[in-house]
Amino acid sequence: MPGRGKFIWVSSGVAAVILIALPFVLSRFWVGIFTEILIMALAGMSLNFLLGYAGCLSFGHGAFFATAAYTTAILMTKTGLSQYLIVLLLAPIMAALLGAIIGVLVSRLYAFYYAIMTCAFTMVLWSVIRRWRDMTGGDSGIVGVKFRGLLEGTNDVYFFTLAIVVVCAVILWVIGNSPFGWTLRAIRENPVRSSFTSIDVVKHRYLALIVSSFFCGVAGSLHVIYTFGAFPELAFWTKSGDIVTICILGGINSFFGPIIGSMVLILLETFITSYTLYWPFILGVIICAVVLLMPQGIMGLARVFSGKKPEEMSS
Amino acid sequence: MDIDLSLFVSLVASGIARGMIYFLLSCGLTIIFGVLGVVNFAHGAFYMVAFYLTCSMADAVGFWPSLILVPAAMAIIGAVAEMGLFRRIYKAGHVLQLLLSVGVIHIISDVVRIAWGLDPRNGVMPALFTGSIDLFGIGMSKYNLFIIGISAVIAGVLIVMLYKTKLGSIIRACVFDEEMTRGVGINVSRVFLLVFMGGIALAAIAAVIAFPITSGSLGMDAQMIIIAFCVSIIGGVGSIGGALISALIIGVVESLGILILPTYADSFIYLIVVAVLFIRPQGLFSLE
Amino acid sequence: MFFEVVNLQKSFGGLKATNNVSLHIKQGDICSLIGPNGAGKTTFFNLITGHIKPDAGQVLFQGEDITGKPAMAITRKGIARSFQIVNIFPQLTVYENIMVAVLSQKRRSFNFLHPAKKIETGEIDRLLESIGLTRQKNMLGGQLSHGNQKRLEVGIALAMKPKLLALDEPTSGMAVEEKAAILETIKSLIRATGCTVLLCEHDMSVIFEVSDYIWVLHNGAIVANGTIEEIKNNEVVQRVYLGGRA
Repeated sequence: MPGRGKFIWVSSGVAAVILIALPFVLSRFWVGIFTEILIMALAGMSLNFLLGYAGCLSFGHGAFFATAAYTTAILMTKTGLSQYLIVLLLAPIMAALLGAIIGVLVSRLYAFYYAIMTCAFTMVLWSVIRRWRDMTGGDSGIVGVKFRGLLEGTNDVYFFTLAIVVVCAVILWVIGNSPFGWTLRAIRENPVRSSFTSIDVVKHRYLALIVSSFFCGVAGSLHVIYTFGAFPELAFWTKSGDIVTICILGGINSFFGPIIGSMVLILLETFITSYTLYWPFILGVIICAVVLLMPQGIMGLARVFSGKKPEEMSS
Repeated sequence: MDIDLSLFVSLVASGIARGMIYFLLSCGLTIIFGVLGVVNFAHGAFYMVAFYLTCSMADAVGFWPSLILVPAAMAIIGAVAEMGLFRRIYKAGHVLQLLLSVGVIHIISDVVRIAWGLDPRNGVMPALFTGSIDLFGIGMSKYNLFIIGISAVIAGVLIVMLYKTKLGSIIRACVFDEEMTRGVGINVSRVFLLVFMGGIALAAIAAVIAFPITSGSLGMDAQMIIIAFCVSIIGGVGSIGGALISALIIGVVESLGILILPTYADSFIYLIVVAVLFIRPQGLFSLE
Repeated sequence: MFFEVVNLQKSFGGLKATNNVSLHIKQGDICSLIGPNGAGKTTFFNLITGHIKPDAGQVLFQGEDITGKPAMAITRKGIARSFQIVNIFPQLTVYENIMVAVLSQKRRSFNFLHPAKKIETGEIDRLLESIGLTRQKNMLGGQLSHGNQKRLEVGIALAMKPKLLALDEPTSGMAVEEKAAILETIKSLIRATGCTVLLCEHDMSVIFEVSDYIWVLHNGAIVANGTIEEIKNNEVVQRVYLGGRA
């Protein structure tokens, strides 16, 4: 559809210009916020690969986020390894390994069992992290991770994060439009028919989880640059819940949904917490409102306004 | 030998007591799922509210009145939640129900935080049950015996109600064939409301009974909901008998687990769930 | 024997849905399974295509025992099936429905590097043409008319390049003209691909138009079998069809 293609190019171009110009216009505080938005957008996109394409609801993505964060923090503080780019490769691999293990156990499960079991896994990881004090610093986590050279200033961190997130987004987009991505969509639509089309439903779901956990790991690793540390809360179920919220808010049937969702959620949080202490309450209300009133998310609403069907899974 | 045995028995007893609390909590969850088809992830949050409510009420009017008042209050809160929120997503699929529950959890946790603050609260043992008594030469905590006793009574009442009363057969009819039940003129919405209230009330009863031996804090809802779901899943969702048996198994395993591997005892439940789901994905006693 | 079923049994609770069914299909034949509603045709289809496991009996395909194997494996071996109640991918377009099946058949469903829509376009277009849905290529599966959805059903099964095509009531729910049209489509497809067909229907006119051989199912058991002429003149069949339900 040529009209839509042009629209994507133009809006991406505009977005690119805005994103690049940002640090020169906004204060350090806001650049930091946008860094976090990018990180969570990537986490959201990784979950959406699993949720929007394969139809598996994981309530445990925080586990992958945390695994990569702790791997990053541990490698950079306890070993001599200081080349961050190598760590950026190793940490997501650890996350993907965890995904591979969890995947063996959950890939056969029906949707809601899948959600509960992944939630249970992340809670187990949370309690393991809190107890394994030698490795993980227990309740206080690991702090004071230092990054040298390119990753020292707020703006530098922002651009680095932007570059990595864009690269990951492109990769996810390519995979999403590949035969594998379309097979996942078929599985989401109709798993029975899929197996009658000779598709190994469980194996595809399993691989989707591994891909998803890898990219969530990238986000987790980037998070360490932003916060200089790793903390047990990353594995607590609410982090996973936030990632899911980002996807739903943005719209799970859209590739760009998580980006919108992340932006809206974090900006809202930043604004509202500066006025009141009742952010969790308001967040809860927002989630309920989204579920009851616009379950297709913001992108779904946008599609309705532009005359398309909100369920179409595409960009 | 003698000491080991009495330690073992008292651990088993406290495991059974713990299991009974898990049972009451999970029973509410599994009934709500079995009858309404709703995944109520916020069940643990309701439990938490009940706990904090008990803290305040026990302070004000004592433990015994709380045993009636708190579940009653929670049933009303449950009614509000059902009518305002959950009712609208019965047909929306488990994913959206889970998400709605997440929203509800955020709301409830913040309300608890605002009303009761961040500090952990400790339960207070009612004077009647402090200490232990000697049963066949083995010391057993009086309160554990009380827990087991009252839970058994409640379980009994529940089973009688479901299988021997008119209301019970109406409820079971709704599970079996909602359309037909509606077709014969029964107000299914009202039945659903009652069942939801009942489920929440059961969670509240569990919280009150657990109160004297629990130290509660924000975040207890997360741990309790996972346990409740694990119990339901292992026992087979919708099955009360299944919930009872799996809750008891988990309670005892956790209790004995403290003997073997104290730091990770509460993770045993996850191993059990994983194992069960691997072997029999629909749970041990599922209706399917 | 190309396809053979021996003493197949399946019970649901007290109901014997499939009662000691034995039948065979010669390669290249259009073989029909008929019976009144409730005779157990769909259960039989489910059993031989791997949707459910039989309690007893054997299913042999080209000499290989495929009893109780999962749907995914049986489809891979060359038996593809269409469903009586339309079972497509509703939120995918017609093109995408066929595309997914073709990609799976070519064992490319794990390929994650190439854009899927640029692969095998020729074959997909040809398939769309052969089921008469070229114009509707970009419509969502769920938006198609019932008749077209049934065409898509057949198309997805065909995309698997089956040696045995199992069609479960392909004309059910259709008006007379639609039935004739889809029958023509199916006939020309069979001529073109040369695959063997097991057809199940309860509309006799359809059966009498295309079948080479007929098996009659009643209350889960085979009560008659033969050519069109033999079946037309069979007393049991007349009783079964005229003496109760149709």
